[in-house]
Amino acid sequence: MLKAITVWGRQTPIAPVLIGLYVAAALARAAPVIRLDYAPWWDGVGYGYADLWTGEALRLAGGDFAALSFYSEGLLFVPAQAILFRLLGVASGMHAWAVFLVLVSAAIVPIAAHTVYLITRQLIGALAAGVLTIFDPVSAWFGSNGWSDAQTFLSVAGTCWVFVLCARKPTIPRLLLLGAVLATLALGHTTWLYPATIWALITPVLLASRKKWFPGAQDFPDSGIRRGWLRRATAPLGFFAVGALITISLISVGGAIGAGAETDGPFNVDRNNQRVLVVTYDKSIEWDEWTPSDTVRVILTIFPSRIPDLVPSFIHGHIANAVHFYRWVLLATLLATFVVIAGRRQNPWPSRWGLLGLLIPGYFLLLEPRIEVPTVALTYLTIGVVWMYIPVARVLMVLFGPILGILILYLPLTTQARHSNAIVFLLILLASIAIGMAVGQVKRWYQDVDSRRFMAGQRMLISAGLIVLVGVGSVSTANAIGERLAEGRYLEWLGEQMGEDALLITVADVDPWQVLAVTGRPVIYDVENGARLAIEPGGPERGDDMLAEFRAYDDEEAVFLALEQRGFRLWFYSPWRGAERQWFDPAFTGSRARERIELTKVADYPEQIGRAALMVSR
Amino acid sequence: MRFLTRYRPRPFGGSSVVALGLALGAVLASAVLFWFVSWNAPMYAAAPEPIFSIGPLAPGGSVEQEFEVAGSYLTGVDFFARTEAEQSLPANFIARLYEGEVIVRQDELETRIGPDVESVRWNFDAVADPVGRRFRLQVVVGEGMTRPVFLMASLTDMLPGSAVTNGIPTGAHIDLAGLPWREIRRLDTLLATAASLPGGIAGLAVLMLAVGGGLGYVMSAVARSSGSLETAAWMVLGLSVAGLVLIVELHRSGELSLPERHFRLWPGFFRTMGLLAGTALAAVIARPVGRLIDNISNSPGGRTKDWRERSLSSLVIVAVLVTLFAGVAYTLDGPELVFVKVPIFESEHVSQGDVGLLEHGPARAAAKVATVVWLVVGSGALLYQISTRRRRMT
Repeated sequence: MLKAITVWGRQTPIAPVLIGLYVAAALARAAPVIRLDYAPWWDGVGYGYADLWTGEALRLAGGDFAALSFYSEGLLFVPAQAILFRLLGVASGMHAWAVFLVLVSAAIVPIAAHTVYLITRQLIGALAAGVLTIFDPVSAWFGSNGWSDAQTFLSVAGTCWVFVLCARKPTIPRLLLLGAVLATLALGHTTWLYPATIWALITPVLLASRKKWFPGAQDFPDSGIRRGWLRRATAPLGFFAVGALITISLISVGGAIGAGAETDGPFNVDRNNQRVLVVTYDKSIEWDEWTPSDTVRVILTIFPSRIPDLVPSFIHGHIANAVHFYRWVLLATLLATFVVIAGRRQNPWPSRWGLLGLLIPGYFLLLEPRIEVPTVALTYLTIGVVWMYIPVARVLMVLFGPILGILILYLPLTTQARHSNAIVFLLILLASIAIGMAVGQVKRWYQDVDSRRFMAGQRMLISAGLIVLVGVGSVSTANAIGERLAEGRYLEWLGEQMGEDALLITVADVDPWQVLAVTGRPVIYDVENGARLAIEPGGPERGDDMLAEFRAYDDEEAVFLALEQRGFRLWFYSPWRGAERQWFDPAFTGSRARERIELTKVADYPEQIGRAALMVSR
Repeated sequence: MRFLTRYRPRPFGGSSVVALGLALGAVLASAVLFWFVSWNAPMYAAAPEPIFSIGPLAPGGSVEQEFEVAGSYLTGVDFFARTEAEQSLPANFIARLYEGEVIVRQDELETRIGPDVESVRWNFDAVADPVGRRFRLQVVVGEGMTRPVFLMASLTDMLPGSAVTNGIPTGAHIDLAGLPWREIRRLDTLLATAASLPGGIAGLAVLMLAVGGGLGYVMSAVARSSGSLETAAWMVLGLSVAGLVLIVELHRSGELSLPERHFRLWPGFFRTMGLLAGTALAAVIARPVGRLIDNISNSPGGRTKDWRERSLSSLVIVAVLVTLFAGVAYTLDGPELVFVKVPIFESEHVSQGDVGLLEHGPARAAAKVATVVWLVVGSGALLYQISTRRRRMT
């Protein structure tokens, strides 16, 4: 058995690395969800936007196909959630959804690693991509906190992977798959419609020259019209076919594409986003005066003059602050690129296409000469150097160009870390490709000297890295499970303390269905962010309407008074974070003025010193 | 041209003796330094503000306050007292440390207090593992006191619960101004450090093996060691250097509160190890760069034969070196203001990995110079390509 595994590992050395990375990623992604730092029902901050998709999934699970909507950015995300609700019910469905999101989010890690491996054929490059992706904080967070961006992350990673597969060998199935994955990118999130379309359209052009920029391009009969351009056009054709198929299916079942799509065309489904864009950039235009041509005019005339302000803000506020050890990642990328340059001993200067990369740092020097922040300057320099010497990196940058453009365009409005994560992903790919190529170059230098020792060192480094990653992930997951078990014991004890007339109010970072199941008392969940759910024994798992009337109340005190008048004694539950809560900020009414409500200890919990059963003081 | 073909296999005894000798030196230095390692610091980063008085307390009067700590080895507590007397007088207190209703430590303290606020330190045998436990400090005014005593309170509400005076709780925001203290030496500092890592001692061992072993491996590449024994000798050196660096950091952290928990000890450790490993890596990478220079200047049969190609190649080397300088200066400079913070749920913030040895100036200036040199390279390459094409056409 061991021998078979060893032989298999030698034959396909990337497979164990990918498996190790996936296990490590799944463990690392699972820990915060188990600990309930965030989960599909709690986004970790309190924006509450995930409830939109959950609500649509509940409607869809109930047979209401009008819940399918393109412009609410859950067209592909909501059906998957709805299937689980339909099969397992709300509580179990939500728990299964949490597991599903963790597993899907973790899949991005081996996809990124394999993308880099396909380009460089180097395990260390793949490992670098895996490590950087595992510790990508935004991908981990929005990959499993119930936001539909989880699907976008997967589509971005999947698109890069399939594109690289096509660059390696553009078979018809691969090109069709690329079209389909691009369609998921376009339909999953309105922001990505335009970049995905441009990606699909320029794919044939890029694939036509793949042997010039892709190091591992395999021979394939791609000359002549039938085998060449027609074949390469499969990707955009597949993209439009899948997009049209999904759109027609959506309309036929009663789903929504977007307000305005009928009059302004399918590329104006985000007309309100365009309106706000135009009125922000051009103060002379009123909200109702907007026409689609205004968007084009603003982008071509006003937006360019804002770029010198927007790009540094984007780098500083969306990229450098979202990558662990960003400075070292840039330095490693530079060092790796210089090793690649050293490998081109005869002509170490950049090629004609490479020279275009000088525009990036040149732009910085000419248009942003007063930049005081080294992060921005070094980012330009690094990206410029990578462009100059790594052709495949150039192609990726071109493909991500429209994404970068739209993110910068919307930077003053709606661009958030969950959107700009696509550029973080690009940066991870570029750094890992440079590292992989540098390792390949060093390997060539070592080939006639002591290749066996080099390989042994490489294997040792990769094994140690994977062991550490899996170990760290296991420890954090085990700790998280321990914390949840301890919370379960506390809830059992709390259930014994409460009378039959108890109503349990909780904070956000709990599992409301677990609280209900263990304590057997009605639960009002997430009282500090709008009291988003009320569930009771024997009642519907999706919650009942008992909270609806309180939204119209003037103050929070009145809500508590009303609950007490109905005969409830109000208890409070919050997970143990080292000290017991003494008060909380309820937000039943949606009123801006928060009123702090004091809590009273009524019994000491014997298992955790300082912890107690808490009741609302009134 | 192969870059790494000039080495000769050496028997064990050459570079490995040097490595083992250096390792022995590092171990001896570590042992000497370790003997003097001592941590004597409060366990809270912020001291209380003892500006309000609880009292007057007569003999037998008491004040209690709950508290928790986030690091191992609780060895004492500071509290603050004064009296109405005009001069300092001998004072005695009975101090008790409770966990729940169990008395964990108890002592009678003899000290002097006067009209000004004085801190009173109660040292006791270490509570080795106080994390996750809630303690209650009770200070009772001794029977021998002739003048009323005031114990000082803080309104910053840093501690759980409130101060309890003679069994009666005060307002929720009023705490007895107390400061848990830790005074430990040698092995205890190491154990406290290990306790902050996942896996404790095993985690520390794995970390040291990984970091030290990695450094040793890179050093063996610099020394072009041959064979596993020589590599092992260099890895032993790497491990001893890692140990020495850790002990130096333990030494430097003596007056910091919980250096092992609050990212105070580890950045220093990783900074030094990173610089050492980075220098070694640079030495490894310098070899092919050196060969590249060598190749450009001595290439009778190569393609780089005319002055334009040689000049262009030299310019590329200058651009690479200046860019590298900019990159290193950027990692070595200090933190930047971060306006948009990405919430990270486990480690609280995203660290950009800034070392903090330099100001922003060198990185910024070097980036600009590098850009100019690259633009010169680009212009030269463009002119060269145009002229080459023209020559081919004619």
